[in-house]
Amino acid sequence: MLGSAALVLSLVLGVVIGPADIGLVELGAILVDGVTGDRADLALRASIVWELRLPRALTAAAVGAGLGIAGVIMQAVTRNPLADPFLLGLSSGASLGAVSVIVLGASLLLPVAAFLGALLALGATLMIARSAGPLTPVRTVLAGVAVSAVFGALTSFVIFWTATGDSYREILGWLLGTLGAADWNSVRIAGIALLVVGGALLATGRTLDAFTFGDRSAALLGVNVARTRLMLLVATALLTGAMVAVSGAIGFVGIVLPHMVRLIVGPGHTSLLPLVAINSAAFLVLADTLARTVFEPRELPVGVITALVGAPVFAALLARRSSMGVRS
Amino acid sequence: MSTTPGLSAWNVNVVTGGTPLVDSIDVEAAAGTITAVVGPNGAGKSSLLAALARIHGTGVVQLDDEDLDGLTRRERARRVALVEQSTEASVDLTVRDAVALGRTPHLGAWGGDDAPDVVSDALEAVGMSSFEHRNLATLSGGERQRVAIGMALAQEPQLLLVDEPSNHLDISAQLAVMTLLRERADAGTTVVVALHDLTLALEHSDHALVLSHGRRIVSGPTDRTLTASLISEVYGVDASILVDPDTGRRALSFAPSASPARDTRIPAREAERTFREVAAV
Repeated sequence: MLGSAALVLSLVLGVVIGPADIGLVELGAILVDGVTGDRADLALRASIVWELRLPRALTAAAVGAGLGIAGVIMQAVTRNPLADPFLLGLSSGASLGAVSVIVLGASLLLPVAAFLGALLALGATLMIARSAGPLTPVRTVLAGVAVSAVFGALTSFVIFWTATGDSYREILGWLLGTLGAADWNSVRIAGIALLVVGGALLATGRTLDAFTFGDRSAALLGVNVARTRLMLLVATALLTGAMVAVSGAIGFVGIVLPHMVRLIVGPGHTSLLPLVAINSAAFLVLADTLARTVFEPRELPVGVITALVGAPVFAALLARRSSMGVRS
Repeated sequence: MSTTPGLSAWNVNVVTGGTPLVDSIDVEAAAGTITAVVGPNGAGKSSLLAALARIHGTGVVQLDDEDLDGLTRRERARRVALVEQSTEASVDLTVRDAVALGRTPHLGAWGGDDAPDVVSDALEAVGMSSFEHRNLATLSGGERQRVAIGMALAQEPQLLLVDEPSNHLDISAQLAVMTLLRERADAGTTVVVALHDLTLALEHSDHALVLSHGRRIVSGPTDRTLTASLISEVYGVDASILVDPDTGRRALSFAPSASPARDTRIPAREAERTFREVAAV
């Protein structure tokens, strides 16, 4: 309940705040007019809402929810509290996939290419982490850092190679994540992925709980461990791919929000998943609102904000793990 | 093939790295009874239980004339529960959520709590109701052990396999667990329990299966199987079974096998007043 209210509130803020002040009453009128098809009257201000802020806020919400869900799934399936699509390299892989098809001019394939990139990066991370021995959380994150660096470098390389105009800006956008280019097409891509993949993942709470005791216990409870893990990881890559395709690699949402929500509602995944989805959505909408307004009229990549909030939380998690004497 | 319902297993083998941990063992356990699997460390008790749960190993395992290998994982998980010895210490779940996991094989594809009563009953049965909102990570070893048993009870299995339930538990909790297993057996469940503590085996099991070095030494009704001479031989000690004349309860007394005269055992003289010695080497 609280989460939903926060999401609605953040969406309203995300649409109202900006260089052109739009009051709540005006917003209401614009939204009603937009829905009833009579947009001409409010022309400019209506188009600010309908063409810029609303699709941007909705994209932020969908991306936030998707990344949050992806984080929860990855943490449970890899039994690694430090797992997240950004830290394990999926986001960088997805960025490379997205950038590659954009320079090839095949933008229709954008989400598909981002998905394949995410999958490739995930495979690489797990392979590298496993090659050195058993899959420990910290080793997995280190492998993710290496994979992120490689895919990030390749992304920059592809953009420079085909440079047309503002390459730096574009590189920053993909590597740090930005919602500056969000339009209704972004809403469509992120929204459909969230509804279909994210929606299906919301029903996996019990299965994720079963994974917390380890593969053997999950198998004893009738879970087909190998197949379920593969399906869940592929679904995570799919979700991450779609989100990165519209926003670039926004970091830390998938690790910060799951841990914060867990502190409040406890570790059971059945209630954790939907709450993380809603709160991550609200968080990213607010972060993006900040990103586009603090240095008005210049825009900060939203990933800068999420990293500023997220990195300290991540550091605290690491510290807490070592103080608990958990094998890293 | 078997005529009474329960567990029948033939030619169960578990081999790890060329070493046979379980060597061609047959197991018969009737529904409604408790079978104790005993034997020294490394006898293959845990490996055998895991093989009966079809986690590893080869051989035929039938439950109520149904081959467990012919079932899907879910079907098998609805029939067989295994409580393993060491449960992960750093699991981040509440006690209730953990016990509710036992319902996993009974749930439909889209979840849905089919039987909250079963979970509450299981929590009650293992005495963890008042802990239901606690996080597993904050519990003691004994409490986690009880949660693991609660989880298996929530599975409502026909075959309940329990590995060393007395580990981590104090005496009253050990007795509570054995009483719990007896209740399950009385309700028709086939219970197979690996026990370190021979006194518990002697007092609380109907049948005993004695293993040593992965092989079956003997099996049969506990009274006739777990004799002082057999225990002495299998464990390499000098064992005697003492019976309390008032209650009829039995207890074991041990000495190193090379021990000389019987009366050198420390509490023996005192014990003679309370215990009548019925069996000795």
